[in-house]
Amino acid sequence: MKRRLIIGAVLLVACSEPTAPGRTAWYSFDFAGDVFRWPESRVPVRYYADTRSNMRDLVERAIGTWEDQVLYGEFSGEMVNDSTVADVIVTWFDSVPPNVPPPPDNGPPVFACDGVTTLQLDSTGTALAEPIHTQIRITTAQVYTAAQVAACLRRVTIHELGHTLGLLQESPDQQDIMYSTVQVSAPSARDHQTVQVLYHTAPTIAPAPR
Amino acid sequence: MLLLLPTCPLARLPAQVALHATVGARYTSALVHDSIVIPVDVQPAIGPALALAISQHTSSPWTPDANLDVSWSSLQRHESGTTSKFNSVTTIAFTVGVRREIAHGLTARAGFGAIKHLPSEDIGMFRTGTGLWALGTASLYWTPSALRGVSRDIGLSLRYDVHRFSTAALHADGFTSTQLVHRLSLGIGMRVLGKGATAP
Repeated sequence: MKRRLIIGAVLLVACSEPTAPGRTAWYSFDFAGDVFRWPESRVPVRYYADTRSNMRDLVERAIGTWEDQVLYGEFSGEMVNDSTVADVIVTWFDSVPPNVPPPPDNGPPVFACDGVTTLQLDSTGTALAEPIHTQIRITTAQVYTAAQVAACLRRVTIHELGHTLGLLQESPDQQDIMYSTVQVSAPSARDHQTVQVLYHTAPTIAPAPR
Repeated sequence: MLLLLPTCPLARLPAQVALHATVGARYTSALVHDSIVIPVDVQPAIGPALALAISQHTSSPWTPDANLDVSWSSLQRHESGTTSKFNSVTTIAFTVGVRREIAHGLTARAGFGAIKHLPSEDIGMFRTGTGLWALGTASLYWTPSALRGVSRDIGLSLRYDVHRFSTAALHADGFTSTQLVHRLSLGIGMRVLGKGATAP
């Protein structure tokens, strides 16, 4: 009995330890060599969303999407109702889409909207001077259906919030959510690995003080 | 069964059946060894542990028992010399086993069963849930000579167990095998119901 127990214990312990997966499929996230990401002390990151239309829903969905890309709590976000305490402020650029649930859009992606995210450095160049600002814009050059606009807004909000996490470059691959003209609705494996690598890389730019 | 027992009158327990409780603290080895640019370990902090065991004394020197063990701890990420808490987890382990006295005042137990991890938040490595893992355990229960003969079998418990661990999210991220996890707990135990010999 005793010998069997010992043999069993040795077999259990002797099994090889798992090898950490290689994370080699990632794209650059620095800006001219500088790296920005939210440090542990600033997580959860505070997001303020424009109160008009469904911006809050779009931002909440995008935060959840990016939270799912990390394994060990490296990034998380929370909504705040006061823009003066926010780390990231997301607003409509000009026109605001109606806040009605659109029918599902299963068609090819159209570029019914776009966005811009601005990080303003302070005079030292080593920290942000103010909260990150993201603006989402509805494209008016062409008429799109409500479903097409809604699908575009979901894609672009995830993309722009990717910049607020510190993905400061566009991906060169159109299968990635961080591709310049977003064509997919969720982060790819490359986006996934890039965020993970970013959140274990030492930053050179600090967030704006709260 | 364990939920019902405490509400049962003591008189209804068969004479050879006893219920023991142990409270203490538990150390757990890393659940994950990862490397993302730098080595990253995920490990539960030392936390409280509670165990309830029901045993039936027989004429044999081997006493069969069943043990329900619950522990709580925060989950910590270790990297580059820093430690960050990012979640917490409750573990529930159920084992069946046998025990016997191996020296005067010293009882040994061996058992096997299963363990389940219940995170407080279904995020990150826990976002798609966790499985049920087989568990092996060995423990010692020592009753100091000064306490021998005390009706409650008060004593010190040292328990070791081992299981494998992974999650669907870790698997999806490329972890193709599982991590061996060792746990060690030290506690104080006593018989809370019934009559019987030395506690597990």
